[in-house]
Amino acid sequence: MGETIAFLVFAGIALGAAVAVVAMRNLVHAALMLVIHLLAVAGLYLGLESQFLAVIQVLVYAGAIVVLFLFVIMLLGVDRDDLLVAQGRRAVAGAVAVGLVLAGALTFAFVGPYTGEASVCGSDVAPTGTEQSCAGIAPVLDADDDAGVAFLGRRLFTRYTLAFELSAVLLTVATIGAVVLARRRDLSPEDEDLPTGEVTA
Amino acid sequence: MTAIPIGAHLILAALIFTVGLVGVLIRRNLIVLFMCVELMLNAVNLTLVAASRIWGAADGQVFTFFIIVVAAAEVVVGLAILVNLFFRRGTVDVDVPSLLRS
Amino acid sequence: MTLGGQYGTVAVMVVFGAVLYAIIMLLNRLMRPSVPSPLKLSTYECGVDAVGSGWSQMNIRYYVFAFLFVIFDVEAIFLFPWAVIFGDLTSSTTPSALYALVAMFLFIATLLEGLAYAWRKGVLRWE
Repeated sequence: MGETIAFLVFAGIALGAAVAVVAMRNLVHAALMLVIHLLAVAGLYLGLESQFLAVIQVLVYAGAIVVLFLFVIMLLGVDRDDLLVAQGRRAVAGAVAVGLVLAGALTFAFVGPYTGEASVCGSDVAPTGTEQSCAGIAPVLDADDDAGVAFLGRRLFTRYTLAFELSAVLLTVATIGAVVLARRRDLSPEDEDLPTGEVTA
Repeated sequence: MTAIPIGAHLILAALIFTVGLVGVLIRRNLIVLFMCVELMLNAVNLTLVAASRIWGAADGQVFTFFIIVVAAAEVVVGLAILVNLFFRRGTVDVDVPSLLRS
Repeated sequence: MTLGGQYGTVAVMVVFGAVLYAIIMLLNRLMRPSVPSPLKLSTYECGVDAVGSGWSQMNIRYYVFAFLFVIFDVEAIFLFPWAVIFGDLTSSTTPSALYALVAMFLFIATLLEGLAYAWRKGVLRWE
């Protein structure tokens, strides 16, 4: 009951905010809608027994990535977006048609195997036919690991160590790339307070 | 009210992904395109977390972890390129003919 | 009903906060006099009128600090699971304590490379 209400509320907010991100004319408003969407998805993670991921979602997405978006909006000074939609109505209609087909196909695939009584997590209804039961994460967690942090950490340092180290390389490459792109002097707008004296090492 | 089956999360993720895709197709502002890509990545994350719950395995959550990392790297570099592009062309409209083409 | 039990308190608090806010604002609206005038909408009721818009372009060098924050924020989220499991690791567990230690320090060293590059190129300098 509580879980159902929480899901419906968060799902409604997440979907509504996602539509608003696409539909908002003001860039800052779109970015704020993105924050709402990301927070609602974090709420959905709580319902999916993934508390640690919910925290990370708030920390990284809502806390850092959206800040970067707002930063760039400030940097470019384009608060009003007059470029709302693509070439014309036909392009928009085509895009929406593609979207409807995709959503319909995905929903068609999920309804049935994943929406029966057996797919409610923790239920003991036996799955019939193509139905998929839901195991839930709780049985595989450590007794003292409520948030699933240790559960994740053990995988990170056994099966996925290579991916872990490669993500460090990826982040380093991103840092270096962004430094190269951001240190061009001709990009800085005239700023009286900060002389653009720059060390060329 | 009965409990919701796990498929509800999957359908919701599909809908969010679709909204992001339609956004990428119809919007012309690069910043909004990036936001729509974030929406799509988020939908995929939601699917993976739901799948992780279906099969009671950590792997889906680890994938989500790495997707968040990749998304952060993507946004850092992408927005830096976008800023460069804006100062060169004076617009963030994706439909303006590309500099790369000339 | 794990969610109801664990987060029921939070939900009650959120609802209570929202209701309290609504009541206070409603009371405020009912009790205050309403005398609108254009002067009240200006930025400063007394003092110099504001010039230009509130919009000012920022310098790109702020962007460097913003993205470095994002990168090291992402690094921090990897430290949490590591720190949680590290206490229980010994030389006979999988992963072994030494393995986890080396893996994490390799990770941090790789990221510091990017920071060192930014430092060498002088983008962190604030003259």
